[in-house]
Amino acid sequence: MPEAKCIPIKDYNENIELLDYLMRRFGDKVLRLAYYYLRNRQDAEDIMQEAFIRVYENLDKFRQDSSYYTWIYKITQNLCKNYAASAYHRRSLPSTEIGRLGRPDEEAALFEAVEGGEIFKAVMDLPPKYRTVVALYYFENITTGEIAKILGNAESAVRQRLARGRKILKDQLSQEGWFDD
Amino acid sequence: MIDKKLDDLLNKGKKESDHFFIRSNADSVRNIVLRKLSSGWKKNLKRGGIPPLLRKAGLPAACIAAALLLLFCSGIFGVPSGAASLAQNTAAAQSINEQTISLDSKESAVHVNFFPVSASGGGESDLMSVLWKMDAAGQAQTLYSCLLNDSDLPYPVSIIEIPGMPEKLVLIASGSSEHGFINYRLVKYLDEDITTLLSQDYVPLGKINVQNGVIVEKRQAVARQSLSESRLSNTQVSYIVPYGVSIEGSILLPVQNLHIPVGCSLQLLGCGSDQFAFSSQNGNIKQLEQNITMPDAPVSFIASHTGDDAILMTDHSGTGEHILTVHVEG
Repeated sequence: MPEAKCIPIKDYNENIELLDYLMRRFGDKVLRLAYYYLRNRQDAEDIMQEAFIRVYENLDKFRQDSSYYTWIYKITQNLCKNYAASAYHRRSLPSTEIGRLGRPDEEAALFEAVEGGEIFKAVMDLPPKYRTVVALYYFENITTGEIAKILGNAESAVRQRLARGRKILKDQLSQEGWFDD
Repeated sequence: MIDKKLDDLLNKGKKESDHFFIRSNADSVRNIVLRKLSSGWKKNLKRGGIPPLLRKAGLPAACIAAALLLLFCSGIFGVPSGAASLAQNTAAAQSINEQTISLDSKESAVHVNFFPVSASGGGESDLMSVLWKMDAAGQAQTLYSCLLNDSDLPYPVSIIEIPGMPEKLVLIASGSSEHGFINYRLVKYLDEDITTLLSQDYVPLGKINVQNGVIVEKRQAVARQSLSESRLSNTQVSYIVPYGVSIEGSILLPVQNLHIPVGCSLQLLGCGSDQFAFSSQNGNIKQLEQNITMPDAPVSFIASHTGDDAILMTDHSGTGEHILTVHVEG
């Protein structure tokens, strides 16, 4: 057996190990949430990076008054909101594209239809404030109460958005013939 | 909000969503975060903004290359079948190392290739490890692949067999000649089905080998408070003992006796979902508190005093138990 000198490992790197666990456990969910917000894979990956670096920086401050996952989702949601509103985001787009902010991106829609499917794309085509709620509720199985905590809204507001989002989605899908039979 | 047709369509949408995100790069992003933190990365971006999309060129290019490589290996591009075709197709990717291992009683061998995957824009290259074998039709069949970040040295693949356990464990590792860290994956193999048991990246100045079925990992310890400055101190050695469970429910270990130096870590890594209780008998090895947020993590002990000890492993029904004898040496 090896002869290496050893040191006790109490407290050894425990924050990194916890972070690694949290990334394995919630990384995919964070990526999805960011995508639902930003509708861009690469931006979603950048948000995930930034979110978990912030998680790491604040692990010692985390109070157990919410679950890790609500906390991480909330960090992600705040980053997405800031990013969507940031001057950088606007500057990074060609001037001809600025007017299209908030409208479905054609390239993203194409990928969504090809790699996902038509219903997924239709949900992604919803206006952002409905898209996120509908996706979290139906695709991620998050309750309206938890969504309210993540978004910092009242649960009643989340329910209203969900109902409104469903209506818009149904209208859209009806136009596409999904309710014809 | 009851509308069965719409609910059915949303269920369909959920499946489509899952499919859409299959190709997401959460694991790559995780590695980037770990690398940044372990290299003392300091944030220099403005709050409220986003870094100038750090790897817009590099990471996607690497991922595309990896995906293309997989497609080639899978024969999806309709190339001729057989070993020659695999060699022909992967020649473009320049496998830098190929090893042949035997994982089951069948005749066919499993091959492990390491391909460098270069990032564009001058980034460091990764190694992609691919386990594959020939199927009955003579087609190369990819069994498993993983990206070993920022590394250029493929290590010999190790196989761990635990007496009585049908699964075999495969340790795949690589290192960085420039930075000295290692990446490794421990996977479980049975009948062409592979599950990852353990995954570590950027192990600082790491070394890893297998001795009598026990994985010995050495790394330079990073003091918790100085992590952001990447100050390195002493070597930390961990003995990772995988264990399985027989059909009858008894615990299977690669060794019955273990000699470890005082101060080192001993980790018991379950290869299945069975839950056991662990306790040391003499107090020379001390069980570390299990992180309740990491139920799948190995059960960890520290060899705190020299002398003999034993770890009692008991299933939760209390009916089956097993003892691992541990000699802690000074």
